[in-house]
Amino acid sequence: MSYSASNRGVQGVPYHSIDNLTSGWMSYQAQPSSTGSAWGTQYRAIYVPIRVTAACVVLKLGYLSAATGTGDMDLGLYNSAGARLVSTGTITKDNSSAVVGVDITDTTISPGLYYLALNNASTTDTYCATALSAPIPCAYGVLVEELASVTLPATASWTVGQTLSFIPILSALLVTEVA
Amino acid sequence: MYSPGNTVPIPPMVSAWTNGWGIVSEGSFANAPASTAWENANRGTWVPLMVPAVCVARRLWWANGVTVSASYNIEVGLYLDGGHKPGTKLITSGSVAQGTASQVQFCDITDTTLTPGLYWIYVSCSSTSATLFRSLSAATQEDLLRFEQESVGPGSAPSTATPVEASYNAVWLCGFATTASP
Repeated sequence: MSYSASNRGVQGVPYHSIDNLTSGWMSYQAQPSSTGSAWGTQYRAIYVPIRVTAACVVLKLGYLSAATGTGDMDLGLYNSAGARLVSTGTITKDNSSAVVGVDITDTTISPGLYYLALNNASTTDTYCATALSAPIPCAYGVLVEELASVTLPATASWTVGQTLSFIPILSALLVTEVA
Repeated sequence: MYSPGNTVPIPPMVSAWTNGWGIVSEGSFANAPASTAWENANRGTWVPLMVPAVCVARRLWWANGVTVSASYNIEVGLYLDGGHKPGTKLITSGSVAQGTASQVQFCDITDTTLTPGLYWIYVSCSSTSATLFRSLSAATQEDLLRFEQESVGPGSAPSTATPVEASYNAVWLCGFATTASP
């Protein structure tokens, strides 16, 4: 069956995607720029909060890439306690301005607060992001962690992102669990 | 019966900017918050917040601007609604010295359970030299739904608000956290 916009969401075929812009708690002021923001700090993992309102199975994780860089990266999903539920493992960043979806192990989650996470090995790789003066991302609940490698940790030791000046736009492709 | 979307996840940080909870996400605030000098010494200000689900306020916070001093004091808090304007004080931080520039400053409070309904986020500051982050409304002050009260500096948040309508169209970046850390 082919995908079409008319069958998105839980009222039709229950495939849908969520992201931290539309399914987080960011106001409309936080519009992303397609020119992208450089990652800035090697191995700084950024955790962005999202709300999941129904039980679902996460099929893919995604990010909005910008044109610069093909460094190593890791993309993950965490629960509100900081436990990693699933991640892509180390992958190569796409160097086009596009939404990039990455297959993961299908992961069932219940409604609640979750964090999408991204870590990058290069300081210059760019991602489509919302640029905001520090500490505004912190006020949106964005968390950070300085790591020693690109691999996202099994348990996050995150802190508030007081100096962070952008919020990457991360996403998840879901199928709502109707059973 | 299955009914998708009837669970309301609780955000970690709540403010007027919280989509679905605060007025900035609904109103005409053209620009992101910017560091700005406090509007009037010892003025208290309130903006509305619609809490859609039971949650617990565990910390209060505000966003310090680029110019700060420990000699400037700030008080943030939450008020119950009193007929579509600020009513009875629920909890505040008390008077707190301003901390680090361009950082969100947190204050621990007694965990306070909020049931769904209309609340008011309160903030006051002792000095017009202190800077905090705020956005301006492009709409009229009536549309902003902000209230204020004079001579209620940090440490003197009134038990029951006797506010007047806004004379300044700013909303200051402050609120509460539903998490104890980080």
